[in-house]
Amino acid sequence: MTRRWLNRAAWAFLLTLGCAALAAPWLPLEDYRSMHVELRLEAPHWTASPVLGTDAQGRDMLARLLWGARISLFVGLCGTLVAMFVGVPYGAFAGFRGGRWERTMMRLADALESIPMVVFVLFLMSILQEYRSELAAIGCGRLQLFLVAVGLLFWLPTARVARAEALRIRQLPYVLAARASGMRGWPLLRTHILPNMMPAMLVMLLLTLPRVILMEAFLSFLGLGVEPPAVSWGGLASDGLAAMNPLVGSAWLMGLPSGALALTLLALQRIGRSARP
Amino acid sequence: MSKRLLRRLLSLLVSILLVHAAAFMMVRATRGGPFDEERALAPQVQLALEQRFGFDDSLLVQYFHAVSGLFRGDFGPSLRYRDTQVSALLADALPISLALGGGALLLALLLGIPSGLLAASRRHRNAGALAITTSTFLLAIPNFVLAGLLVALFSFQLGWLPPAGFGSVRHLLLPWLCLALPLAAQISLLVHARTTETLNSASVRSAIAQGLSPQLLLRRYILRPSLTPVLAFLGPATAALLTGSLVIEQVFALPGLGTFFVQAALARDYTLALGVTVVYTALLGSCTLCADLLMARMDPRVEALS
Amino acid sequence: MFVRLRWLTLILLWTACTPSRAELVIANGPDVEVLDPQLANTTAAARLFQALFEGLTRLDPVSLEVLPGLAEFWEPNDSATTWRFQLRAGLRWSDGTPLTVADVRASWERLAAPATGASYADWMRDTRIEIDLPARELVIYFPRPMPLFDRMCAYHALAPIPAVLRAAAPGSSPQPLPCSGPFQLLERRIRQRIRVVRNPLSWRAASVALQSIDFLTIDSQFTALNLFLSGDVSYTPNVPSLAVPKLLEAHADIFSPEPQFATYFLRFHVNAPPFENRDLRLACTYAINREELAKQVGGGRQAAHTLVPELVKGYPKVPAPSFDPIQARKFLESAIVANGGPFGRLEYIYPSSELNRAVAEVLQQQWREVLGLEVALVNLESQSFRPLQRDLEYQISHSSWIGDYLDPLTFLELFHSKSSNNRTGFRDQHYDALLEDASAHPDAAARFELLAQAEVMLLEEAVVLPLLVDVSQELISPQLQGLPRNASGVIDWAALHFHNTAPAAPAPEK
Repeated sequence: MTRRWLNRAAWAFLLTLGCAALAAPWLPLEDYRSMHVELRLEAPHWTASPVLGTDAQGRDMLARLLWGARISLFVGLCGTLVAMFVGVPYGAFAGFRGGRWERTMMRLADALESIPMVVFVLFLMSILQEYRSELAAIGCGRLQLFLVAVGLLFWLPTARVARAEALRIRQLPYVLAARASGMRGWPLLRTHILPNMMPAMLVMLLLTLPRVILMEAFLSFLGLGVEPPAVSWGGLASDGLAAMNPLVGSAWLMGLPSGALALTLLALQRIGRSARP
Repeated sequence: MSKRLLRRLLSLLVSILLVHAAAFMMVRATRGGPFDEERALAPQVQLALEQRFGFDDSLLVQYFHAVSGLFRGDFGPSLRYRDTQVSALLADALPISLALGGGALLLALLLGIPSGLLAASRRHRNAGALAITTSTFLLAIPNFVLAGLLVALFSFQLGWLPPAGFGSVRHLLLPWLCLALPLAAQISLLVHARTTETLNSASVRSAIAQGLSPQLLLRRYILRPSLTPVLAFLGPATAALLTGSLVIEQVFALPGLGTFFVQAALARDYTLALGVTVVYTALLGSCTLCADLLMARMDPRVEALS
Repeated sequence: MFVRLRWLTLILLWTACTPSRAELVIANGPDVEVLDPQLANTTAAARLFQALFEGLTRLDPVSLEVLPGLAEFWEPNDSATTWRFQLRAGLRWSDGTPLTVADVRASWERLAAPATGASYADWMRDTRIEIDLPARELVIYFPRPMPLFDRMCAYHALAPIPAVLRAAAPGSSPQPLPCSGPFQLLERRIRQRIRVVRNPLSWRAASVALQSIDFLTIDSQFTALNLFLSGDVSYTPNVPSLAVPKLLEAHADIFSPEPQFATYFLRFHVNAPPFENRDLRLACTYAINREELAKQVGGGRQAAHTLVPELVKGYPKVPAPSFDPIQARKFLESAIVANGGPFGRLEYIYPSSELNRAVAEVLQQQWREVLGLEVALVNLESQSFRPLQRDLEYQISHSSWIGDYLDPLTFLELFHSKSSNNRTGFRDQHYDALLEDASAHPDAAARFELLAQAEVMLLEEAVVLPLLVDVSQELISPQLQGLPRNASGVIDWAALHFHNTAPAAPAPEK
């Protein structure tokens, strides 16, 4: 009983958040970028303005949280999709072909996993930076490049799960029957294997999404996050870390974005677990 | 068994070589060098430096030097810490990372396994639910947030522990907690899932029906199967733990390996970056190997070293 | 039994592992990467080397006057191309070996050699040095006038270094390291701390009050702040900007920002579109309200209208553009007309940091509000940023410069056409001639006049856009005395002492 209630609450929260984030430009909010020096470091007033307080430059936290939601959720979703677009075909192919193909491909994947993540991200960003004017011409800005970089950090677990699924489905009776009757290669993949992988892939998406969002927070902490004036929850939380001492004491600066992050991730995990077959 | 072990070790070596090559290519392809400063070097000085560190050779020659150094265990001098060898830097950082990671691992096991078992038990349902909730919450916040909260609580509010630094066990307690809690959360969830599954299996149900005491039940039927997925998960997780979380090391000013990863890459310290990558790969491979061996001993159904 | 043993070992570990502390513990910021004063050029390294190695001269921490160091007497010739130094008698390294003019000459020759890889090699370029060992005299001949060489000698790059360090191969560092300063190196744990102890063989040993100092490597500012607040360190060089408002309003005893001889400015790439158009550069310059920027960025920083901070005594006040939106828009209009239409994508690149981000956001906002120009902000991590600036692949870029010694030339010589620190594409013979003329005038007033003209030219061409004067953001515990804040980060380590103990002996002046 409680589980169903929790699922409903999770869905409700995510939908509200998603709508609020999408509608942020049209909501009656303060400008999230404008700085008001005289209002700096105001504690949240909850019922009066500023509802959720202001940061060190006097910018309204409620607005920054909602705009941050846009970026964090967008990065999370697109990063996960990138991970899946790369990982699922790779893993499905490996699991489908089996034999030496599978072994070599998975061995290669294991080796790539050992490379420290930061080296990889820097390398990617650097390469993409070289071509930034060409990419800007096709509408690919820094945010998009960042998405690709973050997504590519997670293709491996996706590939592994995809491979396991492909292996499992390949042994199913009706698939064996299809193969016995002469179906091979791409038609087999398209008709039987990939559609059957969908449920597991959906769960994978829901479980990878939190990891991508946390990775974005980590990269923001390192200073490699999204570019200003865009804000993300991870960036807000890492900025607020310097406030967790008795001198400053503005705990809401870190508490609010972390709380938002935690609630969102909890909701996603709840839904992910409930969707598991 | 030993032939399989040998083959496994060989494949570990191959992985190390592959990773070394890939990392070499990546760090060198990234723009920017280790000698770029705000105050630019005079052209002849820049040239002399590059000659001294062999950057004027072709990339292939440099790679060959790097690989031959790798086989001797010599990564050369660091490009930023120019008066120190990379192996010395790694040797200084490794014990700290081991102490940090090892302690965190023990703590995580001590906290995670019992809480997972508790969560699965029917008698302690409320405590178990609390354990699950805490675990899911711990996995939903970034680790620097957890670090900030713990420092605010234990260092400033209660004044029990120092907020950062390194030198005694007291300095390691908060970092251990920060690293252990999320890991404990994952272990707890894994153990809970597997234990629930085991408890519902036919053999266990019949054992309970026959009146087997809880302690015996735990020891004979539950512990081994529940711990297998933990071990499988622990292999790669331990290596990541050992090399330390960069965040924890930065927040608590601990001189471990994790910081080297990021710093070496950011500063374009090629030799250090390669050294750290190789160490990480070796650790990852060994931890996975150990975990696989342990798993084989605990659960004979698992084919070891396959 | 096993359990009890485990508890016992734990308790023993706890008690036995409390580390020994030095008398003074400071957070020194990022790691000092090389224990070689000729190779290091960070402020953290400067702090450490001021304690370990003494130069021929030193600077007074309050007035920044040049005081005798290892040399007791010096004089230039009339044209300041030759300097003669007289070293004190009985100088020794901390390992007992004598410190002679031969050491000084060998150190300076090593600095000049390209193979050393020193940043300040060009200071010693094309020089000739003669020494007279028994008379403890050294004469150095420069190809160009160097009127401030005595002041430059106080900088750690020119401090004499011991023979073992001169001969060290890359990848090795001599242990123990002989030092000449008030303190000597005891141990170095990389990425952790460097412990120094009193050097009894220093010529000033009698006046050194502290017994030992720990320089801790703390990378993140909020960690350093936490350590300061918990009393674990008595000094930290900078604070997170979040903490500054509280510090300014309630904690003046530990925090008082002091303007530094360092400027935060922007560089324009002046020989490629779009900023080859001088009107566009001027429009961008007049559109910025620096006072507003300083207020919003906070930290106690002040606006800078000129490239050279107004801290040099005798340097005339240089007229500089200030905030004028109407003028800015006029310049923009003429720029658009010259361009034949509105400008394409404008970019401002900067290395990632909290301060740089805050400044970038304000700049973007001001340019948008006053000129209607949308400038994209591109943040890069610093080693990716530097090659772009060096290879002139930018339009507007962040810059900052700390003056190595208190003279306008350290800023103005950056934009000499042959300087490798130019990085703007600005080449002007007239400007170069002014700088060279100024160097040829040993008379201070005439020299400053010429330098001021050069700076006026630079600002009129809007090659750079000065924004802020850097401020020191040191937190100093009230118990720690003898650490006056100054514009160059000069610390006289021998004069430090704690509140409850008196200084050991009055510091000898001569």
